[in-house]
Amino acid sequence: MEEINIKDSLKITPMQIGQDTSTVQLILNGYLDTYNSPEFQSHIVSMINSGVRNILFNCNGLNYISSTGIGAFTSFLKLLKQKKGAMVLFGLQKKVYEVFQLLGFTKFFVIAETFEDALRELNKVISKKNLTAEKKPVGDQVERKEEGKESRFPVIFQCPHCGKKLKTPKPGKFRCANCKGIIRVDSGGEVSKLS
Amino acid sequence: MEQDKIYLEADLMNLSKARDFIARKAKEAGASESDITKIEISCDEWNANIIEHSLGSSSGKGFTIECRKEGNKFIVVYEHEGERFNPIEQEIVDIDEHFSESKERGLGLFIMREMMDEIHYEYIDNRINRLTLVKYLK
Repeated sequence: MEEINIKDSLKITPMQIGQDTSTVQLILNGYLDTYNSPEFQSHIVSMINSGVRNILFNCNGLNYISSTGIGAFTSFLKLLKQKKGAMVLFGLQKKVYEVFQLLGFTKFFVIAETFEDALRELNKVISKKNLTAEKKPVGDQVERKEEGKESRFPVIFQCPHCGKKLKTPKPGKFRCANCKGIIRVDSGGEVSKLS
Repeated sequence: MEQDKIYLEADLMNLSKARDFIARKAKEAGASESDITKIEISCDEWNANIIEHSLGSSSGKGFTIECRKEGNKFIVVYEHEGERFNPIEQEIVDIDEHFSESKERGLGLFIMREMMDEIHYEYIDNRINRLTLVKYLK
């Protein structure tokens, strides 16, 4: 897979993950705005249409995103859902994460900190999809057990970094809106500091 | 911070120049990192709006951006001679609806209204669109 240069403003470096050609990491470097979003979108849509089903977007080198860029990610999410695929964004710079957060879009995307976390999240999404597709033969029990665990949600807690009162409707990793510290809330509602 | 003004040609390639200019001026005015992000994304949306919808990209026309600080206010003033467009009259966007309907555009004006503290629009001499965006500095 070759590196793609979009208008000298964004570079996409695709990397296959493991032996599976349908799962890729796309390393983004540069910015994403109204100038280059349409071209970015068309490259990724072509990839999806040619068989890529699971994408990890490595955003460590993405230094700006506008609403048009977020719109492009939204379209990938929809397209991958139709094709039974999944995507995870990881390594978002504070400023880029803030744009997602300010627009209220963090709830629609799976966002992870590192490549390892992203891969784990991706596998979770894939297994969930597989369980649904197999009409939950064994998973039914698993899922009910999980539902039981999550029944204590929403959980209201204090940020372990700054003490701000926060609320989450589900377990997962979150960034405190006040101090930006990373927090993990497990399925039992236990809160821990991650960084 | 001294008052500063730039003129940019209506070309989407210039969006990054406009962002850099505004972010630099906001920083000089003492805005926090978080406020700089809000100012930058709001202004970026308006820049794109002017270029795409009012003037037309690569049309040879242009627009000015002026930044100044007045007390605790960081003020950005846009002027261009294009089609009349008052962003304040536009509909309010519901983010959940926007997402579920798979819309990829149309968030720009929502962003400006959400992120900035004041927005004023004037149409001067039946010719000039002037948009003033204000952010209160903490």
